[in-house]
Amino acid sequence: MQAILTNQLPITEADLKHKEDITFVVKIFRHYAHEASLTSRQITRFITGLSEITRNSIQYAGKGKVEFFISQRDNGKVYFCAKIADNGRGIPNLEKILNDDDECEGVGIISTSRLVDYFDISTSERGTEVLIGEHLQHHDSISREDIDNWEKHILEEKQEAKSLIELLEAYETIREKENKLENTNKRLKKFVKQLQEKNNELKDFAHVVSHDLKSPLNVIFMASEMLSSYYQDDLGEDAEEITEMMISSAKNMKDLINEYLNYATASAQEDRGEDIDLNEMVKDVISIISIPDHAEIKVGELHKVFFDKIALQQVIQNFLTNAMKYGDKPQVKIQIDSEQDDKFTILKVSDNGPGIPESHHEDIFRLYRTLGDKGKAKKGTGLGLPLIKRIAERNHGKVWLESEMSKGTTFYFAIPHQN
Amino acid sequence: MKNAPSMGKILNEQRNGNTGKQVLVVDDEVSLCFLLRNFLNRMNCKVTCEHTLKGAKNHYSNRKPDLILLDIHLPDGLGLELLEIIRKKDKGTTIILMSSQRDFGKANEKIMDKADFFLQKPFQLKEVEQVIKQYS
Repeated sequence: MQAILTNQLPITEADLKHKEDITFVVKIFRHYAHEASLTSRQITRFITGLSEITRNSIQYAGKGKVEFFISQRDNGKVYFCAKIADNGRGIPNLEKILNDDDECEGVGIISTSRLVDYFDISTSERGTEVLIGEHLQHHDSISREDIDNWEKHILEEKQEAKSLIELLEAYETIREKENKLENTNKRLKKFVKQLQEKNNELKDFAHVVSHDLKSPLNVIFMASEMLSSYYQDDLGEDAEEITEMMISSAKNMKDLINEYLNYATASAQEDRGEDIDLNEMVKDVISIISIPDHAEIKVGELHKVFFDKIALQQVIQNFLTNAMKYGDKPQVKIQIDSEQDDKFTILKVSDNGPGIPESHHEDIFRLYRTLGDKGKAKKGTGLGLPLIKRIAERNHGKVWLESEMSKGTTFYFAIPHQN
Repeated sequence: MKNAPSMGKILNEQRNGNTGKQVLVVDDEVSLCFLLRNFLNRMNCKVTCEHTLKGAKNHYSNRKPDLILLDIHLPDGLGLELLEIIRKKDKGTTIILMSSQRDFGKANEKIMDKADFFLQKPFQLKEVEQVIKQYS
């Protein structure tokens, strides 16, 4: 039995209950052993002993406790120590074991005692206490402050390790999200491509259909015109009227096809914004549409806007032709004005027409809805207002209307200010 | 490209209007050819109809017409091919292109430099009449 260690400076302690605690205790020792500058050989030896003794405590006593401390022997040497204590029933044949008489039991105790620089064991019916220690060759003394510094350093390292783990986890998360984003982007690109293809298909389809419709329509046009021009004498009064109906319907169909094409291509074309003086534009549009004698258009002082020129021409032209087409008063009156708020320039086109029932205020902007008595031959294609709505939506604008039955309607087209 | 003449009324006396022109109508729509032939005959034109590019090429190489009403889209190729062939050696034949393609004239100014006029389908007899009279 060696001399008892003195001047104890506690480092830390841990309870022993489960097998996993051994690993934990070894880990704690490793941290402090490095701080205390134990050699790697010493560390290996100490860990072997520590593992053997702590395993015994758990196995034979069910639980125990480990205390790490620094001790200075009376010979002046400083030791890094561990005290492994349990409250078990003690080791009855300890002396025999230590004397190497029992070849079967206590191998762990014997080998530990031979491995470490310092070994001490005491046992009774109230428990067993084992002391193991390694000589700190590079230290003449260890102070409380030294141990505090070790702890501080260990904590810092742990924090660094924790930060590193967190960083790695964050990196992993980012990488996972990047992968997800990349996949989403790929899918999105695929969708966009599909959408473009569909859009082109639709455009081609519109062209082909229109082209295919126009050829037979040309024949109907010419045939009915020839009947009306050259075979007039051979036709009865009814037949003449029927021929006129054919010509009139063929003209309607021609307008329909052209407007359908306008509508179908409107979404595919790319808008190009430019500065537009609404006064000039309205004047231009009025000059190209035929205004019947009974119609009067008044234009107020209008603002300047930034918009796609062709699209805006389509908007104004549609508003004006609608007002004239559906006007029911002997004198059709149209008033064009504009106003501004903080977000939009609003173009207003008012008429003195029949008015639009409120139940149709939204319907009217949908495809294939023409209002009015079908018996009355109003030549609406039903595509003008949906086209205006499409233009508005495409350019972050708005279109709406206010109407009073039999007094008239005002259409509003809001053009966003240029950013 | 020239502007379309203003439309006039088709008068019965035009039946006897004598242009005496040799006209080639090239269009795969047989009914349209029939109607154009009927109409142009009334303007005293001698009309031949072809429904393919090949037929039109053959006809042109055998007998040079004064005026060609030429559809752009034909079953065996583009009418523009015939336009190119003719214009290489012949500036005198009047060539009037026809198509249902919108704004073809505006979009194809170089082609239209070689042709005399463009008739947008569907067209009316009045337009045909004015064009024929203008280029006769």
